[in-house]
This record gives sequence, C-alpha cells and structure tokens, in this order.
Amino acid sequence: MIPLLRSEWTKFRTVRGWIAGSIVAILLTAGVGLLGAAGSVRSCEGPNGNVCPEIPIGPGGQAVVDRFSFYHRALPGDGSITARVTGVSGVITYPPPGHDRIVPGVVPWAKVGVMVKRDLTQGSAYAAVMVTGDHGTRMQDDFVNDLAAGRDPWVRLSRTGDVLTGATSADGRSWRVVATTRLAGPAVIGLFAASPCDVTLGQGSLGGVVGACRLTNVTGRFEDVSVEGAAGTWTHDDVGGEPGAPSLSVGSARDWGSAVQLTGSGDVAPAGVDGGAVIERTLSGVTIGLIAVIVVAVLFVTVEYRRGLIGATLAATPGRTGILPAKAAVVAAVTFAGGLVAAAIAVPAGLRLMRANDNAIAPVTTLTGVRVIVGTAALLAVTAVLALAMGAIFRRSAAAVIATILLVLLPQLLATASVIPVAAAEWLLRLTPAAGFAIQQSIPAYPQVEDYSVPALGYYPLPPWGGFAVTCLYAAAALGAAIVLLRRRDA
Amino acid sequence: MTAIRAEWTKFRTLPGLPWLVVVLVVATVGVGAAATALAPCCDVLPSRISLAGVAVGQAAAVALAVGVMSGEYATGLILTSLLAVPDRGRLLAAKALLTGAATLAGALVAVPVSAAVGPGATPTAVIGSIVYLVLVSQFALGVAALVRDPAVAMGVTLGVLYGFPLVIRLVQDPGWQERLAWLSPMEAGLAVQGGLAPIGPWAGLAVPGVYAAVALAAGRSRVGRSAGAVV
Repeated sequence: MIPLLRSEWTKFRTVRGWIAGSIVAILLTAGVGLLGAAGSVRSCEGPNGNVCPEIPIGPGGQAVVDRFSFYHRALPGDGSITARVTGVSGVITYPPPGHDRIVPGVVPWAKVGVMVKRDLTQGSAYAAVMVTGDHGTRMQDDFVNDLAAGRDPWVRLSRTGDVLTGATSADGRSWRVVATTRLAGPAVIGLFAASPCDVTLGQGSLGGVVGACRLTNVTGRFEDVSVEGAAGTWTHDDVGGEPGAPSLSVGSARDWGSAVQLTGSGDVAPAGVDGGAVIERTLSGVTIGLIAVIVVAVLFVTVEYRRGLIGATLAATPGRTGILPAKAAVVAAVTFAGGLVAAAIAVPAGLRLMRANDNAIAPVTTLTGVRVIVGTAALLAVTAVLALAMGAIFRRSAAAVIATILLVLLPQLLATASVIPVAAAEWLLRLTPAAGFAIQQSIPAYPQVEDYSVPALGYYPLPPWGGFAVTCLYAAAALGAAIVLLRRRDA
Repeated sequence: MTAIRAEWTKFRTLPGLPWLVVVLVVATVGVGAAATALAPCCDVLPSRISLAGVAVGQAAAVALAVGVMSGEYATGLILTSLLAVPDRGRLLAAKALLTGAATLAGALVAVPVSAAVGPGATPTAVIGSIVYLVLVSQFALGVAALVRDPAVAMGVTLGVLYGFPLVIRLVQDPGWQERLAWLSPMEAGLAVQGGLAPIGPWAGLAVPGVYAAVALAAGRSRVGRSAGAVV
C-alpha cells in the first residue's frame, strides 16, 4: 500500500494543473467567503438612529431572546409559587392569508406561567413552568431546555436550598414533579407572560425566502395564586422592554388578590435567525471551491485513461484493488489540507470583517467553531473522493464532473431556491450528498422556537454529523462500485 | 456552409451528443413536472414552477457544447478539423451555430411542454427561457474553446451558472444580493421567468448574452493555437 500511495502522490504533485487546481480551490473558498462577509452590513434603523440592540447571551453562552411581562416579588431563600391558569387569550396582528387584520388568537408558543429568575437582566438564568398556546403545559429552563408536562392547568415552582422543582397538577392537590434544576442565591419569583411573533415565510424580491415576524401578545388569567417565602411587594416589569415600543407589545398586570391577569409579548427562548449572523456565513465560498475540487479529483483518474497511463498503472498493480483507494487517500488528504487552510482563513478573517460592519455574530462554543472549520475541510475531502469514484466509473471527465456537480450542488440549489415546498427541500437535503452541508450549521434549530427553520435560511434537516455521514455513504458506495468496475473492465 | 455540414456530420455520428438533446428535454420537463407536483399553492409564480427544470436542463446544454468542442481536443481530431477549415473563426462559428441550433431544437420542445405540464407560463417566460438556454450553450462553447479540457470547461461553466445563485442565498445582504444577481448569468437570465423585482425580464437576459459573447471572443482567440501541444 505504501508504494502505491507514494506513486499516486508523485503523480499528483508533478502535474502542474492539479496543484494549480487545488490552489484555485483554496483561493475560491476563502476569497468568495471573505467577499460575502465584507458585503454583510447590518443596519438597525430605529427611533434612536442606527443603533443595533445588544443581543442578550444566555447562561449556556448562546444568543437568546429574553423579553416578557413579569409580575414578581423577591425570593431571598427557600420558597414556592403556585397558580392555576384559567384562561389564555391573545391578539395576532396581520396573520395570513390577507395580512390585513388584527385578530384575536394565541400563537402556538405563547407562554403564561410561573417563573423563578436570577434577576431582571436579560439572559440571566431562570426556570419556569407554563401553559402554552398549543403545546400543552411545559417546564423550561435556561432558554434551551424544554420538557413537555401534559396539559394540566395547575403549575408550581418551589425552591429548597438551591434545588428548584417544577410540578404540575390537574386539581391542585396531587402534584406531579416534572423536573428539577439548580438556581442558588437571591432570585425573583412571580408570574410571567410572553408571546413570540407570528412567523410567516414569503418570497424575497430576489428569489429565496424572506421571513416576516408579526407582533402578537397574550393574556393569561391566573387564579389561586399563592407564594411562600417571598419578600417585598408585587411589581410589574417588562423585562427587555424598550421605550417607544408598540402599545400591543407593552405588558400589564391587574391584581385582584387571588386572581391576576397578566398581558405580555416577546419570548424567553434561544434566538433563531435574530440571534446574529452565523459563523458559516463566512464559508459561502465552499460551494464554488467545491467545483474546483471536483474537477481536480475527476481528472486525477480520467487523465490516466486519456493518456493511456492507466495501462502502466494496472501493470504495476496486478491486484488492481489498491489503486483507487490509494488515489482516494491522496486526493482526500490534499483536499482536506487545502480545505482546512481555506476555512481556517475564511472563518476568523470573515468574522472580523463582519464585526467591523456592525454585525452581531451569534456566539458559538469553541468546539462548534472547530467542528464547522474541520467539517468543511472534511466535506470537501469526501466530495473529492466521490468525484474521483465518479471519474473511475465514467472514465470520461465531462460526464463525471457533470454527474458529481448535479449530485452535490444541484440539490442544495433547488432546496434553497424556494420553488419547491419546504418538506420536499428537506427531503432533498436528507437523501442526496448535499446533506453533508449540514456540517456547517453552527446554530441548531430548537423545537420550542417557532422560527424560520427552513433550508433556504441555512437550517438543515439532519444533524451535522448525520448529514456528513450521508455524504460519506455516497462516497463509499461510489468508491466501492468503482473498485469493482476497475477489476472487471478492460482498461 | 461546408464547415457547418462537416460539423453536423460529426455531431450526428458521435455517440452521445444527439442524446444530450433528448436529455435536455427529459430533464427540463421532468424536473418541471416534479416541481409542479410538489409546489405549494399560490405562493410562487406559476412561470417559476413550470420552468423550474430549466435550471437542470441547462446542464445538458453545457455538456453538449463542451462535447462538441473539447471532444475534438481529446481525440486529436481538432488537427484534421483545422486542416479542413483553416479559418479558426469559421470553425468556431460553425460549431457555435450547430450547438446553438441543437440546443434551440431541444429548448423549443422542452420549454413549451414544461409550460403545458405545469401551472402555465407567460409568453415572456417561455421565449426568454428558450433564448436563455441557447445563450448558455454559446457561453459553454466559448469556455470550452478557451480552456479545452472538458472537465475544466464543465467545471468553469457550471461553476459560473450554479455558483452565483448558491452564494447569493448565503450572503443575505439585499444590496450585495442584487449586485451579485446582476453578475450571475443564471439568476439575471432567468429573471425572464418573473419574480425578480430588481431585474427586468429582458435586461436580465443581457447578462448571459454578455457572458456568451465574451467567452466566444476569448475562445476565438485561442481556437487552434498550438493545438498540437495539447494532443
């Protein structure tokens, strides 16, 4: 195997065009990506001029939305809050199909319930048990954690030491614990209401998908409200509220003693597309660089057939089985190295350019950043192997290039062109080698957020490594078929 | 005229090339029909849905043009062709005419049939899409004359066609999207199908036209030069 690898590497490095093609692939990947990053300018025209609001960061380090109506008291130590949600109503502005009326209604993820939160700053830790518009009773904490808890109207949060326990009940007597979480130190306890905007997707003026987010609010009616261990008086606050906000989004509380009516807008959840630019925005050049990679990988095989070198190669390797794996290893290694260089330049440099243009970047963990960069290089390498196998199967460079491009890039194009519906686009990105682009998605789609999680806006239906595995399967199957064909066919 | 006849003979006797016209028709109509079957009601322009297959069918037009041009370099036939037709301009013109005619023939079937199968298309969209396919074939031929290697020609052409729209979707800044759309032969050229507000239908078609003209002119300057070294 070693001599085979060595001879294939010698072939690769001594052909000027292939080295040049590999360099072109790196330049295209990094260059186009940087160009796209330089072109991303954020402007936030508001009542105070062009000032972009700070995006709050949750305890887990991710961008979050933390804007809601909160009727609360202080909680210095142990304590609990219990309430029965007896009514949820609300207002939706300009819903489809006409987008022309303000109607009564509750969006699926409108939330009213009880909450214990570290303090009133946006992004601070919390736990809440709530009744939602259309997803039953749930317990959520620290923005990302979400648990379904039946459909009971009674909700309770209690703290003993630093352990917070959420519970629900059908009758207020027998309680079922949903989950526990930790929140130590002084905190705030109370009732909350939040209603995320009504999300609709439409066509952009340049094709593609444009999302619209229309204001909604929710009014929750609580009865039998009882609080233990709390200090201070009841106070109402719009957490994250801005001066000059539309009147429908301004919260309010009415208190009759045991019954409370609370109105609010906003959401307490991970931020979706509003959480800042995603880091993979700097990698838009990959689709272009990929084409150069495909051409080089195909030629690495087909040129041998055109020049007749394949005869010498086969004579030198009587078993024939090792030839294509050796070629694949060489081409994958070269492409991986090149892709790693390109992505490692494009991501940090592109992020710097985007920050210079006032873009907020959705924060990700170092591990996710490394996964996006290394995954991009791996995706390029696996696609190169697929292209090489195609070259060996077709033995004609034009047919192999076209087949690979149609397999890898066309599904991505069709899925994002918004001509076909979202469900079909998602199946395209599950079943074709284009699934591997999922490795670049840095922010996952959270089920508890009604968001624009469609392929056209960078959300892939498969998890990152799952999508990558699909591309690997295609490459492995093609390489296997190519090896069998090479053994069977005349050269 | 003799040059065109020679090209016609080569075209119809080569295995594969006439089939690409059939592939163009099948791919365009097939993808259009699939998009029609899947399309959500009323949200998207009917022309866009009916003619969604053009984005795929154009790959066959590219393959055809590359086959007509690069095939000769691969086999060394280009030497014989140049001996028979010493005028490089005439040789390229004959090839361009033949490629254009073959693509036009395919498009004349594929586009109207797609419009009939789908929810319908405006006359502007139908005529514009046919012109677009012919322009794409000319662009591909120019690129193939310029770079000679079929794989590289295919990569460059499809890269320009498919690359721009993919990058445009990723950029997400309206100003840059519009600028890039004006540079993209596919995005601007297919504005004839409607739905792209900033780019008018016929003005957009000028973009693939310019690409084709530049590629053919560049190809003209390279056809036949030091062909021997390549073979």
